[in-house]
Amino acid sequence: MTSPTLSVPPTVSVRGLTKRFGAVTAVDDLSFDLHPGTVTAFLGPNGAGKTTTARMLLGLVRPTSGTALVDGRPYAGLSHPKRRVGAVLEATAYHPGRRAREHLRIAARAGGVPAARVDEVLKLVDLGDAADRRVRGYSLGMRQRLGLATALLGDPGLLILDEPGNGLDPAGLAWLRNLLRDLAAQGRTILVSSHILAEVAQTVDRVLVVAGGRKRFDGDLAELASAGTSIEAAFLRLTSAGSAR
Amino acid sequence: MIVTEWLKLRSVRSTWLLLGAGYLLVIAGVSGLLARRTGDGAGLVPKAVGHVGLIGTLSLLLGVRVMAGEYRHKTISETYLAEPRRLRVLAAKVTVAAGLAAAYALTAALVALATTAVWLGDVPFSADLWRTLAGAVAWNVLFAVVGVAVGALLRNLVGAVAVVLAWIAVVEGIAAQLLGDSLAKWLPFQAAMALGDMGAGGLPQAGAGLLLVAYAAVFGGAAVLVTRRADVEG
Repeated sequence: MTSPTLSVPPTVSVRGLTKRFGAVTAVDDLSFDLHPGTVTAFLGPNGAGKTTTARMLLGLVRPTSGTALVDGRPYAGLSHPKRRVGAVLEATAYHPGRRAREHLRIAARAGGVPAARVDEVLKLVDLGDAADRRVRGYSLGMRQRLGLATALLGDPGLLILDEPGNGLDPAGLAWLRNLLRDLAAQGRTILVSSHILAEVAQTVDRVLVVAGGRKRFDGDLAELASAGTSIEAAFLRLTSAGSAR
Repeated sequence: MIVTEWLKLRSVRSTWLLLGAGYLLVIAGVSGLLARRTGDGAGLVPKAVGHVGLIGTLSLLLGVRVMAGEYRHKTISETYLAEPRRLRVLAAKVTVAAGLAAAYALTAALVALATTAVWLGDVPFSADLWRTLAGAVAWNVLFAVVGVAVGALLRNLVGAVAVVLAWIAVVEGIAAQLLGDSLAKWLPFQAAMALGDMGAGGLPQAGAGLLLVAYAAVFGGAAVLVTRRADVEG
């Protein structure tokens, strides 16, 4: 599987990944690799197949065909998955009656992570002051921060972030961009999906555009904006071609 | 894994509200029978203490919540990210729900006996009373297991709660009428009543217990098949 030109094997390897829900093909023959130390933007309009791809990579959704491997193995074959992979999937995935600290303690215990990490990640996402409030009273932005804290508990080398910017205000988005830059500088592999290109454009090394479940573009940001068109225009052209199929 | 599941259950207030309600029902149920006693009331005691079995419905709801509550609050994804071997998660949930249901029934039994002592000044222990207590504990444990399985099968908290309550309150009664007495005793709630030694004319207690174990095994087996394959979205 490893390419002879690369000394480091890919962190993530997706080959021919396809998912059909009844008559709907959500993901259609998708292939890509993610390499250590890179931030990849996973872009596409709503319904493009980004979330389904992330969920297949994380072993939550079973592919119709194809493979999605982390470190050469399916997610379920990883020995300490939370210490290897951190994921943000949904900003609202909390029991509303639990306090943030309780939520993180439970997640730490489930993931085999020392409880001392709870305070560290709370500080990292600036939730220290709100840690003993019930999640019920959290704003969407605070929930996103708690999701990031949960993902970072195991200090994972790979981060799969599905629209982590949803619900963040401009200050929150700036904070998120800084955090992602810091995390990438530490050598982590990051896949961050979004339907808003501007949200991630300043942070990413590489852009993967999907629409209608198919790959439309895979390359760096400069290539995407080639031939004098703006990045935004190129993005819209690529994704509208997909939705017209 | 089991500790994690216990922490999840313990950290939510509604767990304790649900269980607390059962103690009140037991006190009220025992008192209702013994307050209207004629004579010394000793003959009524097994039936009164049998209310511990009836709160098996709350153990059933507890089991449903342990599993379907994770879908309701979308925490199931995080659970499976930490432990992708889903059957281990299911096993831990069954263990915690059954364990808590057992502790619940045992403490409710103490409450029932204490209530009895308050009304009668003393608890007249008898073979019947012990049989009722043993059946009541088994009833709660088996209903908790069935609850986890139903939650895993339906994966929708509101739907699963509605289905189990409708079954107990309405559907099984109608099914029993359609089937007639000779077949109706094989229905799950009728079997639970016989296990708790509360119904007349039902199965013998041990047979009812085995039948409920079989029901739990069938629901559990179906839950294993669904849990292993199901896509977890949202």
